[in-house]
Amino acid sequence: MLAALNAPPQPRPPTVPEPPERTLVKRAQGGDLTAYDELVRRFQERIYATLYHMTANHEDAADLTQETFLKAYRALAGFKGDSSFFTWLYRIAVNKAINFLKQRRHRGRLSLNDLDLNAEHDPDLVALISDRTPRREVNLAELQEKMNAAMLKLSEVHRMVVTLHDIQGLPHEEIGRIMGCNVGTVRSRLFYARQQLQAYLSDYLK
Amino acid sequence: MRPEPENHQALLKLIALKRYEQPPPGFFHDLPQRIRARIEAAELAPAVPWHERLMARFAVKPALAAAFTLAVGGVYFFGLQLSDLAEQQSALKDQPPAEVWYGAAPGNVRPFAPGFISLPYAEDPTPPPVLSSSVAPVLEPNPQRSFFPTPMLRMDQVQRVNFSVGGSD
Repeated sequence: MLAALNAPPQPRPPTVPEPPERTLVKRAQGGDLTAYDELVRRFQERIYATLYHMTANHEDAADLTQETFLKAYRALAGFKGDSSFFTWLYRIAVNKAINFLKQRRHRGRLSLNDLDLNAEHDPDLVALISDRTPRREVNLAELQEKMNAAMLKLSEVHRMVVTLHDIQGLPHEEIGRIMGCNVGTVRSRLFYARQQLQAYLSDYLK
Repeated sequence: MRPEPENHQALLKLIALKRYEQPPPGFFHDLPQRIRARIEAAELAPAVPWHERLMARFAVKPALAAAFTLAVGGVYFFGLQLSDLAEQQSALKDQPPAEVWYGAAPGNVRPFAPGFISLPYAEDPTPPPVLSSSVAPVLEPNPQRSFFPTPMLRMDQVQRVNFSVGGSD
């Protein structure tokens, strides 16, 4: 008995800490707007970037980002947690973007964001401009415009795959869950989209 | 992640340029506040009745309004045709089976004084003609369908008339 009392306390079974994201989601589902603010802060950059790369227009992307978070808040009660909040949110953003682009009759006017100053120090980009580009006078801003114009020539689903994989670095499986298709479809779309982009940008890739 | 094919390497380096595109400074600082303001505004806004939402949607999309009008018109027209057809079928159902009517026998038809008028069958020994119905020429067994209701004879309401000429009373 005494030995039992003197024995060092048994460590409690390790409780798996609930992921903060899940906690925030539950609090937001209960109407806690502060928790939802935190979720917005956590995902706003990725959601905005996806929508920006899809539209090549800052104003459209900003509007769609707000619409995405508004819709997500309204639908939050129906979120059961079958997928991660991140995937669920992305799915809303993807649908918003595709619907928006289908309604936009003509090719959208470009409203590109400024390039980060670090781009000028990216060795790959510097090499691309100075060595591989036949037109030596080309600068990063021009390359950016050509790149975005080429992206806009892709269909919505192909642009989305390039955005999610090649720009944002999501794995194929995650993209499949977001876009509601299998991994094989993601890979084939990605391959086709790259072939298309390569053809559109052939002058800058020699 | 699988290594990318060599022929896409240059393209991937070019695509990497897009990662350097940044929104105006302060954009991400303000965005949560703007989203929150819109959420609070939506929660405070009074609920719009369903018919006002419907009208607002039509105001934005005239094509949708036209489609809705066409659909309602189509349903109305279909209902009209259906009711017309049902009415005709009901009328035919109510029609009694055709009676065999006989022409008056020569012996019974003598309303007039002898010599006043001479009916052709008065002295004819042949049997009287058999008529299918006295109103057969009037009634149309399969009335033509029409957008407007056609007045139909109700056979059960047709009354035989007897008349006499020449002051029998």
